[in-house]
Amino acid sequence: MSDKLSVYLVARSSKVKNKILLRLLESLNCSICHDYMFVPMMTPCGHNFCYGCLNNWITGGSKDLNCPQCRSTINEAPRLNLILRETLDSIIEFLNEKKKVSRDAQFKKIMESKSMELSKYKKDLDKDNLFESFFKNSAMAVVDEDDDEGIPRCSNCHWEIDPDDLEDNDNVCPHCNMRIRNSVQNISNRNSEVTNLRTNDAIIVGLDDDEYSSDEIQQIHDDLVRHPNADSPEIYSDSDLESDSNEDEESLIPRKQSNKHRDNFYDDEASEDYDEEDNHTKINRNEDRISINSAEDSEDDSDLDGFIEHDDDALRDDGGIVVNEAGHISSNDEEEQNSDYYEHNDDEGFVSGDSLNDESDESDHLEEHDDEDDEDDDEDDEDEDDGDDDDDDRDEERSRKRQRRSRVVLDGSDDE
Amino acid sequence: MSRIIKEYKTIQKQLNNNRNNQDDEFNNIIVSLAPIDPDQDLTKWEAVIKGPQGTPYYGFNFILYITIPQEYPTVPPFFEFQPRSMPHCNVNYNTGEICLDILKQDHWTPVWNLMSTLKAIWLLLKDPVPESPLNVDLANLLRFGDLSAYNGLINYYLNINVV
Repeated sequence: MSDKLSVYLVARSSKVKNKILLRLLESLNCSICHDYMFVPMMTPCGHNFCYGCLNNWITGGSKDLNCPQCRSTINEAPRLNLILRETLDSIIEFLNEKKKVSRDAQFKKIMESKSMELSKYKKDLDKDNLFESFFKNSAMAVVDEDDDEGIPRCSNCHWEIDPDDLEDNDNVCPHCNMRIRNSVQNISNRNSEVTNLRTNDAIIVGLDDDEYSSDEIQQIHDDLVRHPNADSPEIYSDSDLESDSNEDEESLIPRKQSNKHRDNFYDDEASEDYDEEDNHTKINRNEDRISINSAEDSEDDSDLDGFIEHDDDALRDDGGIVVNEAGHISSNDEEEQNSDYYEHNDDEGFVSGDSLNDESDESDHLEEHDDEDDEDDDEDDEDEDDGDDDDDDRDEERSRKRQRRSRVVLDGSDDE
Repeated sequence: MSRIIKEYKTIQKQLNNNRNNQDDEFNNIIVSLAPIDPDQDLTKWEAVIKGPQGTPYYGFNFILYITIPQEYPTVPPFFEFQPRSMPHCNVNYNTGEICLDILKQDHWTPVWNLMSTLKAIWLLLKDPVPESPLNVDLANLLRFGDLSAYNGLINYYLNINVV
């Protein structure tokens, strides 16, 4: 390609060549002093300035250090741009061959300023004191990758940096008094993003392709990306105890089902007491629905019949049975069952809290169960809200749901 | 100071070129830009710019006074409109002070020059920023979208000066 270009260039008229040459010469101008860059230094963003001008700019200001041209942060020391220096040197060399030019006063002036610039740069370079050692004696605000909170810290002493304090303090670290040369505001935001991405990618890379399909890996990745923002359902429902949106209830469902499995342990022991003493009427009222279930479950062990029947009922109340049952147990045999009681209360506490809000909205539902205690009612109501708010479809819905649940319970009891 | 001498030369050349060349959007906005007394003092400049098309300023010329500080270009030059000549929400009408970030030390960089700064001020005439006003009356009219009152008030002030 360069061959082609050179052919084209040679073929152009001298007018065009002059234009190109002047343009080239212009590009060797420092945009700060508008003079030629005898020692062109290039910033990390690619802009070139004389060593002297850039030195003034870097050491002069007290704000965060950015490129004079594009304002992007200069986070490392600018380097000598050799190709620009050689271009300028060769132009001067060619011109210097003609004695007429070299004797010209203005040309001498240019040569003078060139040697001055060069000697200053060489002096600083020899002393290892480029930019007055600014980049050695200043710190950056950095965010520790392991630091979840994304707190910007001084790269020199690791002292915490408050962006607001820094501004009042002439961008100097409050602990080691080093000048902070980058913008704290920018670095804290960007770095935390980068950190998140890196962690996620690292985990994804660690996954075995044989074990996970690409879809699954994508799914895991999505979960990881979403995770920092979205709380787990349990935390979510816990913290949003008072709010009672549909979203909340949806997030409750998986958790409640997992609780149910645990409840089975107690159902075995407490079921009979519970049935006989408290819920005769209820069972009767729900007889038709229970019969559906027992018909379906008739293949199962006859021993389980009572269990199923009870579980049906218990499960309709889901969390409610626990409170009720636990309360019942505690009155009989307080010390032995206390730990269970509290364990359950821990789990279910927020459910009843949540459902307290339902009370006003769904009071008509509650009236059906006025023979039970209040807490039980709440659980009951909460349970119904899982899938069905409509009064007309409620019975049908409920029986279908119970069928599904009794199967779940049977699965759970098999595990025991 | 050597920089301002170079800039002066460049500006003269550019303004001359602009008269022959009509391509650039900015070519005709600067009527003049030169030191008031080129032989004695290069720290006091005067500029004349045209009002941008599509604004109430169109058809008027505006005079700016420029003061070049000793530390220029490390320190920004000081631009101000001729007092009581520029009704604009980012210009103090009585003093001619201009509210523009690049004219403040924190946002100035030595890469800016007189020409580019003048262009930035011309763009400010085109796109006023009512969020940081020096002329609260005009800024409020603009903020609430009362363009006829806004344009009317500007025209009123502009025409006082003509008479």
